This record gives sequence, C-alpha cells and structure tokens, in this order.
Amino acid sequence: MLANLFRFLRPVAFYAVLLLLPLGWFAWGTLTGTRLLGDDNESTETLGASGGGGGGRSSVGHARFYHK
Amino acid sequence: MSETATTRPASAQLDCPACGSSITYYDVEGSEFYVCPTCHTYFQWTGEEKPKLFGKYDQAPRSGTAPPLGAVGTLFGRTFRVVGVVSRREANHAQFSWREYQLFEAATGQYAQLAEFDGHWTFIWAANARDADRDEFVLADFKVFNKYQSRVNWALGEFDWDIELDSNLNVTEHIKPPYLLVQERRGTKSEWYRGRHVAPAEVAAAFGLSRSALPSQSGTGMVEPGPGSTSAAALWSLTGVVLAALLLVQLVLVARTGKPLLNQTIQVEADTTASAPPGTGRVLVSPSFTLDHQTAVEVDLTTSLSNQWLELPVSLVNEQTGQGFEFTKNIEFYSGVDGGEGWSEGSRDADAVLSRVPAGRYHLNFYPFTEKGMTPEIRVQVWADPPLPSNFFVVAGLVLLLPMLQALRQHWHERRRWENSDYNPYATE
Repeated sequence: MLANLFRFLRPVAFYAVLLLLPLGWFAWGTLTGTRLLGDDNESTETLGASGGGGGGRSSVGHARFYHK
Repeated sequence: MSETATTRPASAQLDCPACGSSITYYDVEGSEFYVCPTCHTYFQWTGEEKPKLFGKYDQAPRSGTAPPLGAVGTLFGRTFRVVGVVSRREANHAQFSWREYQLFEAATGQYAQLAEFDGHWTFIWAANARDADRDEFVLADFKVFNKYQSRVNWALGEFDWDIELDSNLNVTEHIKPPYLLVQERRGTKSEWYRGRHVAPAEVAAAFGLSRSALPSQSGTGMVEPGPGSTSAAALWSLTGVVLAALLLVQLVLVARTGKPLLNQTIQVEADTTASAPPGTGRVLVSPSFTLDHQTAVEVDLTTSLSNQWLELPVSLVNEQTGQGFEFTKNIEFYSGVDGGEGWSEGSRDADAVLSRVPAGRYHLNFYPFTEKGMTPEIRVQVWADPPLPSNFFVVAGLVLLLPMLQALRQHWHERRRWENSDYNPYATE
C-alpha cells in the first residue's frame, strides 16, 4: 500500500519536498509562539523598555488620536 | 485508412504513367492509387489494367515532407513506414489545413495515421472491437470538437483507397485529451477511428529526425494534454492530504486553548492633574499573571463605548526582566437611528497578538485617552497559546499556490484549445 502511494506521488515528489518549507514554517510558528505575518508589538527595544511596576509611557509609535 | 493482413514483398516499383519516373511502393498488394513524387500526377493502377490518370497536385511540395516518404519509425512499439502524405483543408474553412501521414505496418499489413495541424501531432488508428484500451474511448466521455467535410490540397505516395472520395465524408471529431474519437459518415455507413496526442519530440525520435525538422507549433493542439495534466491527480491528492493534516493541527490548537491568564474589568478614570491634557486618563495597572513558557499572547479588549472613542496604548511588562511589549488600539463605536433605520459604525472590541513572549511574571499598563468626561469600562482578557488562525491561512495559501497556478494554466490551455472549435464552450456568443 505504501509502495503504491509512493508510486502515485512520484510525479510530484519535488513538490512534496517543497511543501516541507511552508509546513516547517507553520511548525516553527506554532512551537515558538510566532504570528507569521508579524504581531502587534510596537516596541523597538524590548529589553529594559519600561521597568516593572508603574513604568513610564513609551514614546514609541503612539500618535494621539483625535476624533471629529 | 483500411486494414489488410497478408504476407507480401517488402516493396515493388512501377513507372509513372505521366513522366516515366520509377516509383517505389510498399503495400504491394493493397495500394492502388499513387501520386508520383516527381510530377505529382494522381493515378490509379491495379497492376492489370492501364493506369487511370486523375490529374496533378501542383501544390505538392518539391522539398519533401517531414517525416519523408519511405521513412521507417517506431511508434507505440510498432514499426511503421510512411507510404503516403495527404494535405487536406476544411471544405467550409479553407484556412484550416492539415497533413495526414499514412503509416503502413508491414508486419501486420495494418495502417495507421499521423495527423499534423499547426505542429501538433495525433496518432490515429481504426477502431477495433478487440482493442484493449476500449475503456479510454467511451463516447459519452468525449466532447464534440469539430464537424467538417474535407478537400484534398495535395498528396504524395501510395494509397489503398481513392483519397478524393473522402470529400463525401462527414467527419465528426470528439475529444477527451489526450484521446480523440473520429466518426466518418458516408450516407448511413459510419466508421470510427481512435487517436491520441503524440509529442513532436516523440515523432522526431521515432523517425530519427531533429526536432527542428518538424513544423513549429502554434496555438494548442486539439488533444494536446494540458500542462501538468499527467500529475494533476497526484498534485491535488497530495495537496488535499497536507491541507487536511494542517486543518487537524489547527483544530487541536483551537481545542487546547484553556482559561485566560487574566480576566479583569477596569474603568477609565480621568487624570485630574493640572499638567494632563483634557481627556487623559490615569495610568491603569492590571493584576500580575504568570506565563510558564514562551508563547504568543493575545490580549482581548471589550469596551463599553457608546458614541465615543478611546485611544488605548498598552504595555505588557515582564516584572523580572523589565522586558516590555507595547501596542496601541484606537477603538470607536457610534450608533443611532437615521430615517427610521438603525445604524452603527466601528466596534467596541479590539485585540492584539504579541509573538514570542518569554516565560515570566507580567502585568499590563494602560494609558487611556478619550473624550473629556467619559470613563468607559474595559474588559481585559489575556490568553496564552492562541491558535493564531492567520498562520493557518498563510500556510494553507502557500500550499495551495502551486495547484492553483496549475489549475489556472490548465484553464487557459483549455480556452486556447477550443478557440479552433465551432463548439467552443467558452464562446460568449
């Protein structure tokens, strides 16, 4: 049965190998907790950005939002 | 085309009754009609009576044909000799012209044909009830591609029937690429022929020719298989299996989502210090929560906004290392009734995903800014290991990319194929 499956898939063997790239990417994203298209983090320096407790307001990327 | 089966001499010769040139012919017992390769006179000679001359094919090429008359080649494991060539055109569409190479198998006395149109080749043979490949040629599986009567442009070589009588035939071609079914009707009598696509490289290899010696291709052949058609079933099967596995993994990821690390409702309070601009809220700090492994973190925000807006910068802060993650959400929700109909705009909800947040103890800082005097409530939920559906859709899209491209190529291949047909299913009128 397995031999038949391999024979059937032989014409697309290269594609099967190629598929390992996106599947590997998915597995990496799942295992590391990474959103592949980028996340919402706006902090440019993650380490030591703001101390524990109260912390100061970041000056990075916060445009004031005014509405009508 | 016809079938005969007797043992016979390999070849014989006769003299052209018009120019006297010596003509070599190979179906010694079957051939009766000849076109002189030198003067192109078409005549009948049975071997016993005086030759009957019908006229000349002045358009016949003087430079020969490819494959040439007399050439021997092996196709589909059978050895054939090219004994005749006929150039025909459609009676009603003279621009459609093709060549038919008569192939004679000396071992069995059977004939087959290689038809060439615009550089595309089809191997055709008489249908036989004993053929082993009958399952491939069920008429119901085929589509009508063309109906026509033909006229002879020119011919060369020998034939076992009067090629001019074919003008009375009503030909219907049915296709199921790479296969072809041809019905030839003369009155109430009907004969069937089968055919299949042959790549030019196969023709060239069979007759020992260079690929450049054959006519160059244009357009799509009547039964030319589409790009990747031989591997299409395997490609889609593999894609289906991979997508199913991917979906299964994604469902497991959705199912394993447990309780939120933080589920808290906070209320915006106005910052009454003199230096704060109007609308600025006090900094709000959430209770602490623990992340026991590196993962993505999703923060869901649900507000009580009603016809107002809220700008909400948020910091996720690691209490042990000081590492910070930040995002800002601009949330607005408006609703009302206009002309008796209710309307709404915007949303009360927002969410954010932070990737690769290390294990540790965290809390959230909120820096709200809203309209002066407004103090909306914000329900905050923090989730570890969110299923990240965008990851699934991105990878599923990549997996589907090649099959979709192949399907697109197949589609355009089919459209081009049917451009030469009166039965074009893609025609708009």
